[in-house]
Amino acid sequence: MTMIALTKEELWVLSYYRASELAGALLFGRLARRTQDDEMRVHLTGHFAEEAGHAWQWTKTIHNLGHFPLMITETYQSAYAKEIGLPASMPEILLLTKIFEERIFGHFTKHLANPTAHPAVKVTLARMLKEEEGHLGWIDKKLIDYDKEGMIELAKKTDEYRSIDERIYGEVMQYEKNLWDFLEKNEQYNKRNISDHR
Amino acid sequence: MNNITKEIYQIIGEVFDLKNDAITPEMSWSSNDVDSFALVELIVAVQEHFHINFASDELGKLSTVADLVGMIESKVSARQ
Repeated sequence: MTMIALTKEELWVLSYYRASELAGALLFGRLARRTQDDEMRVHLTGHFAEEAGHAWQWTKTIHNLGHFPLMITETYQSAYAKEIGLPASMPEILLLTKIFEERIFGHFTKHLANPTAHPAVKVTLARMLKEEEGHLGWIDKKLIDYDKEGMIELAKKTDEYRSIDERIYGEVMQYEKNLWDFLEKNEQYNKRNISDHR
Repeated sequence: MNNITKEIYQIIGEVFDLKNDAITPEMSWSSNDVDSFALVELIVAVQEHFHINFASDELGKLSTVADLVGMIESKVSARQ
C-alpha cells in the first residue's frame, strides 16, 4: 500500500495540535500535583493523562507517516495568555479549559469533514472526537459550584472568554491560511543563511 | 521572616525548584524566561494554601516576591 505523504502545511497543523495538547498536559500535571483538594486531584490527573495521551496520538500519527513533529512553542493556550493574561484562579482555568475543549471539538469536527484531510489524520481525529464526548462533565459541575460560591461570575466570564476565543480562532485560522507562504519564505531564508555561513 | 513569608517561600521553592535561601523579595517573574505554567501553579497553590482568592486585575500588580507576600498578608489579615 502506498503511503500518502503529509504536506508541509499538514505537518505544521498536526504539530500545532500536538503542541497544544502537550501544553494542556503540562499545565494540568502541575495543578494535579499541587492541589490540596482531594476530588480535584483525581479530575486534574485524569485530564492531564487525557491531554498527554492526545499529544502522544498526534506524535504517533505524524511519525507513522514518516515525519517528526515540528517544535512549536506558540500554542492556542499561549494565545489565550497573551490576550487575557494568566488565569487568576482555578475557576478561571477550568472555564478557559472548557471553552478551549469546545473549540477543539468544533475544529476537529470541521477538519474531519474536510475531503482533502489525510486518511490517517481522519482516523486520529475520529478517535479523539469519540474520546472527547462527555469527558468534561466534571468541569461543568465544578464551575456551577464555583459560581454558587461566588468564586466566578460564570455567565459574564463565559461571554468574555468566548468572545476572546472567537477572535483568537479567527487569527489562528488566518495564520494557517498564510502558513504556506510563510514556510516557503522561511525555507528560502534558511537556505540563504546556511549558504552564507559556509 | 514571619510565618506567612516562610510558607510562601517554601511554596515558591517547590514550584520553581529553588532553595529557600535563593529566594529574595526582589526576585521578579516578569521576565520572559519564567515558565508561565509554573506561575499559574504558584498562583493556584498560594490561594489554596492560604484560603484566599485573587481577582484577575490583581495579578498584574504582582511582579516580585515582595508584591506577592504583601498581597497575601493583606488578604489573610483582612479575613481575620
